[in-house]
Amino acid sequence: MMLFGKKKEIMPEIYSEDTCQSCTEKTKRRFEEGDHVYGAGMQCKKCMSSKTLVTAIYGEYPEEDKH
Amino acid sequence: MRTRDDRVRAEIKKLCSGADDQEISKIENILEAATALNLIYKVVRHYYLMGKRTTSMFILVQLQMVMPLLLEEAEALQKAISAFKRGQPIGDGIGPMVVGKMMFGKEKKLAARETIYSEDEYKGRKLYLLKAEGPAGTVGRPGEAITRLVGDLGIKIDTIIMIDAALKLEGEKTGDVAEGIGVAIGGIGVEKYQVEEVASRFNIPIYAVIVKQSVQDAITVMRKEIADAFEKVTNTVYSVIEDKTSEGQSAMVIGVGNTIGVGQ
Repeated sequence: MMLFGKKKEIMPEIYSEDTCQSCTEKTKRRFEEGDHVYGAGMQCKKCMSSKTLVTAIYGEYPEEDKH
Repeated sequence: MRTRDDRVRAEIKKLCSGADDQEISKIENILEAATALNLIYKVVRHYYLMGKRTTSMFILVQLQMVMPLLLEEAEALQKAISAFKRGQPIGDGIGPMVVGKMMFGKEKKLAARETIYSEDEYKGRKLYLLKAEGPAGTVGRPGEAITRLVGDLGIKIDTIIMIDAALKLEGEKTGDVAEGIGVAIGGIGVEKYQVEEVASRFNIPIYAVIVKQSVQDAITVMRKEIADAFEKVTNTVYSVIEDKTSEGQSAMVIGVGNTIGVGQ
C-alpha cells in the first residue's frame, strides 16, 4: 500500500488576454515576462492598433485537475 | 507586524542593492512563501523524530492523518513561489483587479503606504476607489487608508463595499460570487478592526462581494474560473452601489488582496 505516493505535478498554461481599446477585440496569447493586468498589450491583430490593454492574466489547468 | 515587514524589506534591500520597489515586493512574497514551506518542513520533522524517539505509533499516525493536507499546502506554496517570481496575478488578486479597472485612467492619490485611491462618479453617486498599489506584490494598508481618509481627512462616506477572495468549502465552485455584509478581509485582524472602528464611529454600513476559491487557488496563479468572475463581480458591485446609496451620496469601494501583477 502506498501511503505517500507523489501525485504527478500539473502545471497550468498561463495566458494573457489583450483587449483592443479601438475595436474591443480580445486576443488570448501566452503570458510574457513583464505582462501585468492594465499594462500595455500586444498590437491588435484585427485593426493593427497598438492601443491594447492586458485585461486578464490567468492559468488554465487541464480538465481533470479542475475542482 | 509593521516592524517585521520593515525589517524584512531592509534585509532584502541590503542583499539586493539596486532592485526597484516592485522587485523587492516580489522577493518579499517569495520569502514569505519559502518561510511557510520551511515551517511545514520543521513541524513534520518534529512529529517524525518525536514518534521515533518515543517509539509511539500514535504520534506518527497523527502525522500520517494530516499529511495529505500538508502536502497540498506545500505544493500550493511551491506553485505560489513561481507565480510571485514571474509577477503573475494570484487568485487573491481578484478584488484589486476589479477596483483597478474602475480606477483605470483616473488620477491616483496616496492613501497610506502602498495604498492608493481614486475618485469617480457613478449615476450621481461619488465613488472612492481604494486598492494596494500594483503591479507590485503587496496588500497595501486598507485599514490605515480608510482611517486616514474618513477619520482624519473627513471624507464623507455613506457605504463601504469590500471585494475580496473568500475560502470555499469542499464541493463549492471556484469563482462563485456571493454578496454579504461585514468586513471582508483576512490577516491577523488588525485591518479588520481598523475598518470596523471607522465604520462604527461614523455609522457606515459595510457590504461585501466575495469570490470563492480554495487556499491553493488564492495563492497560486489566478485560475481562469476566477478571472471569468470579473464581470459578475463588477456588475454586483455596481448593483450594490445603486441599491444601498441614493443620488448625492458616496460609496467607498475597496479591492482587498495581493495586487501582484495587477496595475490600475
